[in-house]
Amino acid sequence: MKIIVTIVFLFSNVLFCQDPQVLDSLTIKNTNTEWEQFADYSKSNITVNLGGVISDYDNKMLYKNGVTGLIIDKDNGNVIQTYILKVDTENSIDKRVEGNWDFSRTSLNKIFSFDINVDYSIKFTISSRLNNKIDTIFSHTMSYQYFKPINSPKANYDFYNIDDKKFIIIYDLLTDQGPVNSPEYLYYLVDTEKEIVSRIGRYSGYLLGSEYSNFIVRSNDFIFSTTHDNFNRGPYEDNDASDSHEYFNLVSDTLNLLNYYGNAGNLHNWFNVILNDSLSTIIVTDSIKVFNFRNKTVPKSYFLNAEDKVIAKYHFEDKNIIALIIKQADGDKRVFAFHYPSYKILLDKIDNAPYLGEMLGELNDGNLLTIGDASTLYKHKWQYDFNAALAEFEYKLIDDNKIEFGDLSEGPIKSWSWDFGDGASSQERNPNHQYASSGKYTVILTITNEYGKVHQTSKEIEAKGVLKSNFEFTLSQDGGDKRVECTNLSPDIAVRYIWNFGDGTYSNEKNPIHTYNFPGKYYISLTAFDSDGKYKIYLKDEIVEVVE
Amino acid sequence: MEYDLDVITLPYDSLNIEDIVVSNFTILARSGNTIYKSTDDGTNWKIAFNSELKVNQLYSKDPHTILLVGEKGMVYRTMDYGETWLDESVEDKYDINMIAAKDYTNYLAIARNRWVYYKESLQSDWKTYDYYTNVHLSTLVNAEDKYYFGGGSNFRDYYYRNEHYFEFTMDVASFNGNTFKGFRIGYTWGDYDRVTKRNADSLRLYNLNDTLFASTVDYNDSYVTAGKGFEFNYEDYYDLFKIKNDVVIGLLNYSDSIYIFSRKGIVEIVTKSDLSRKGSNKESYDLKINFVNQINNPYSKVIYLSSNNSRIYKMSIYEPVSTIQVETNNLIKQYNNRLWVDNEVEIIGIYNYIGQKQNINRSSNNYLEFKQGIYYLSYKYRNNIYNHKIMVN
Repeated sequence: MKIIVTIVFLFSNVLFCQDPQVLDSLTIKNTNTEWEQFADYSKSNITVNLGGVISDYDNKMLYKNGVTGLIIDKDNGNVIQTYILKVDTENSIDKRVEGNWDFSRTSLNKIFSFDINVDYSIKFTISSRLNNKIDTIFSHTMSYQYFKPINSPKANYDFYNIDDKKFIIIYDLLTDQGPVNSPEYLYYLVDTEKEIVSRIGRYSGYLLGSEYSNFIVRSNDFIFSTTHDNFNRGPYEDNDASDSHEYFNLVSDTLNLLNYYGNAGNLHNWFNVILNDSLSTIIVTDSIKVFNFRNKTVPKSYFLNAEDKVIAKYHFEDKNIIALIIKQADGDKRVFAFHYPSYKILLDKIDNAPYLGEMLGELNDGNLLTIGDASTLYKHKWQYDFNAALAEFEYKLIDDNKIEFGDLSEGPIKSWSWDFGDGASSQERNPNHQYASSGKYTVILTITNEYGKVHQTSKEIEAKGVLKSNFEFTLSQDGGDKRVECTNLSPDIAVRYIWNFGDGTYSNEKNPIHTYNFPGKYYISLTAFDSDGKYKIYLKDEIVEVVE
Repeated sequence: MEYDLDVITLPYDSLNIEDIVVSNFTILARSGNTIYKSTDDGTNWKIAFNSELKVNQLYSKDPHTILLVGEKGMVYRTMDYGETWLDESVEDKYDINMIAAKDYTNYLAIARNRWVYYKESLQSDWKTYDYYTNVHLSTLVNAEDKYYFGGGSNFRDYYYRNEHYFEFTMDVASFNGNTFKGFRIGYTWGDYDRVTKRNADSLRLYNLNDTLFASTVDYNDSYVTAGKGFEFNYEDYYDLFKIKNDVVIGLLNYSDSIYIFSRKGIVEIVTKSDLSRKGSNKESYDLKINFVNQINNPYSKVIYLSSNNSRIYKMSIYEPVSTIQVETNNLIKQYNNRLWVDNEVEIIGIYNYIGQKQNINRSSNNYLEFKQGIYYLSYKYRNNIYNHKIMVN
C-alpha cells in the first residue's frame, strides 16, 4: 500500500491538557487521536484490543473492553475520552480482564460501576456518576447457605445495563462444594428502582474461552441471547456435547427460557449481533448459519472449508447486510456478504483485499471504523457494491388454479410487489395465489432493494386443474358381510386408479364395490394416476368395521 | 398359551424368507432381492418383484404403507400388494438399510453409517441429514412420535491424568422431524477388565403400543428392555429380561404380557411389570421352528413367522371363551367349538339337549371338537362326578 505524502494529524475536541478525573471506581481522561492517511484508509495512533462491546450513545460510541472504555466521536472516528476501571483486588474477586461497568442508556454521565466482595456471602454495590457526583445507588448482599464462593483467578463478572434502572449481572466463580471446586455461572437481573434482584440463569461447569462475547443484550425489547458450548470438565473426562443457544425475553415476568436450540455443531465463533427479533448469526466449525431462535431453524447455511478462518466481520445495520472476510488455508481471502432479511448471498468471491480489521461501527461520513493490524484503529471506505436489484421468480401449480410463486431475485431486496394479472396483488415475498378460473395470466414482479433501486420482470403463467385423489363411500350390510360402494371424486385428469381396501385386496375400477367378509377394522385408500404416471394417494380417515 | 402352528411352504427351493407382510390372506415375502406374493394365505405363489439391485428390507406399517428399500437409494411403494411398485427413491444413491413410517405420508430411511433421509409428507421431497456414527445403522422404528435408530456398539479408550480408561456403549438417536437427540444403551465405563468383557451388538428397536423397547445380544445372551437405557452391570436396577444363548427377533404386546420371540423359535411370555432378569413368573414355549427371521402380526393372536427352507409359519393363539372350574382348578377350557380337558379329568359322557349320548372322542392333545348346539358334559374328578352345560355357537 502506497503512503500518501501528506500526513494529517487530527486532534480530539479537547486540545488542552487536563488532569484525569478520578471517580470512585473509574479514571476518566481526555484523549488525542491522530490519523495517518493512506490511499484507501487512515490509520490512527490509538491501539485497541479486540473482543469488546460497542454501543451507540447520542452521536458517540462507547467501545468497552475489559477495564477500558473509549468514547468515540461518530463524525470523525476520533477517540475523545478513555475510561479506565479501577480494579481493587484486595477485597474483591480478581476481575481478570473483563470490565464491570457500563453507561446508562439515557445518559453518558450516568456511569454504573459494580463492586463485589466475597466472603461467605457476595455483596455487590452499584454506584453512579451524575453531574460529577458519585452515588451508591444500590447494594445487595447474597448469602450462600450450601457452598462457599472461593476467591480465585477464575472468577469473573460482567455487567450489562438495560435502561437506567435495570441491569443484568453475570458472574462466574468457583464454589467449594466438597471435594471438587465447582464453577458456577450466575445471571441476575437487578432492578434498582424496585430494589429487586432476580436470578435468571445459572450454569455449572466451565465454558470455553470468551464466553461473555456470546452474551448479547438488546435494550429496546429486552432480549438477550447466549451461546453455551456445553463443555463440561468432569473428574475423569471432559464431555463436549453439542452447543446450544438460548434466548430469553426479559419482558416476560417469569423470565423463563423461551427457546432452546441444540446440535449446532462445535462453536467456532459467535457473530456478536442479534440481527432482528428472530435472527442471529453463528459461525460454527464448518459453516456460517443464520439462526432463527424463535422457531429453532437454520434458514440459511453457508459452508466453509475446514481450514477457513473468519478474520473480520462487518455489519451494515441500516442495510441489513453482514459481510465477512474469510482467510483460506492457502492464504487467499474470500469476501462473503449476505442480506439477512432475505437470506440472499450478495457476494462470495476470492479477493485479496488488505485486511483492514474488525468493524467497530459506521461513521457518519460512511467510513468504517475498524480494529486492524497491531490492534490499531483504522478508518476506511467499504469497497464492495451491494446495490444490485434483479427481479426473477419461479412458479408452481399446487392446486386447482392455485399457483405458488417463489422469489429468485438478486440483491438485498427489501420489498416485493406482485401483480397476478387478474387484478389481484401481493406484497409477500413468496405468495400463493388462487385464480378464479383456468387460463393464462401475465404476472409482474417489482422489487426494491435496500438502496431504493427498483427492477421489474414479467412472465406468462397458466392456471389449471391438478391431479388429486378423492372419494366417498357408503356402507351396507350384505348378509354377514359388509358391502362398500366407492364413489371416485378424483378429477378427470386421473386416468388410472388403485383402490386399497386394507384387507389384502385391491381394485383398479373407477367406482368399485367391495365386500368385506373377514372381521376387522379397515381403512380405504385411493391412488390416482395421471397420463404421465404421476400419482396422488389419499387415505380416508374413516374406519370400516366388520364384526363377527 | 395354546396355539396352532401351520406351515406355509413356498414352491421355490431353499429360500431364506427375511421379511413378510401379511394382510388377511395376502402375503408378501422377501427373500434376497425377490418379493413373492400369495393371495390365498400361502397356497399359491408368484413372483411380484425382482431386482438386480440388492433389496434390504420389505417394510409395512399398514396395508397402505408397504415399502421396499435397498441399494443405490432404492425406495419403492406398493398400494396394490405388490402388483405395482411406485418409485419414491432417494436421489442420493447411498444404499438404504432400513425404512420406517409414522403413517402413510411420513417416513424415514437410514443409509450406511450416517445418512438419514426424511420424507415429511407425500408432496415433500426427501430431506438428507448427515448423522455420522461409528456403526452401521441397522435398526429403525417409529415410536412415541419419533424415529429411533441405531446399530452396533462403540468402544473407545482414552487417557486422563495418566490413567487408561475404556468406554462401551450402543448409541440410539431419535429424530422428531426437526432435531436429533441421542441416548446410550448398555453404557459401561471404567478400567479394561470391566469394559472389555462387553461385546454387545445386534441392537434391535421395537414399538410396543407406542412405547420404545430394545433388545441386544451380549455374549450370546439376549437382553430386552422397556427403558431407554440400561447398563449390563446393573441388570437388577433396570427393566431387563434375559434370554440365554439366543437372539430376540420380535416382541408383541397382548394386554399386560410381552411375547418375546427368539431366533431359535422360542416364545417367552412375561408380564410387563415383571420384565426383569429376576422375573421367574414366565411361560416358555418351543415352537420347534429352529430358525426365525421376523414376525408379523396382521391381526390379533395370529402371528406369521418367516423362516428358512422356503417356510413361513402361521401361529394362531387361542384364548378360551370360558373356563370351567373344577373344584379350585381350571381343568376344562372352551375355545369356541373346541374343548380342552385336563388329563386328570375323566369324561363319563357327553349328551345333547334331548339327552342322546354323543360320540365325541378325546384327541391325544386333550381337545374335543363340537358342532353347533347345546351339550351336557358329565365328568369325574377325584372320585366326584360333575355335570356342566356347554353352548357351542
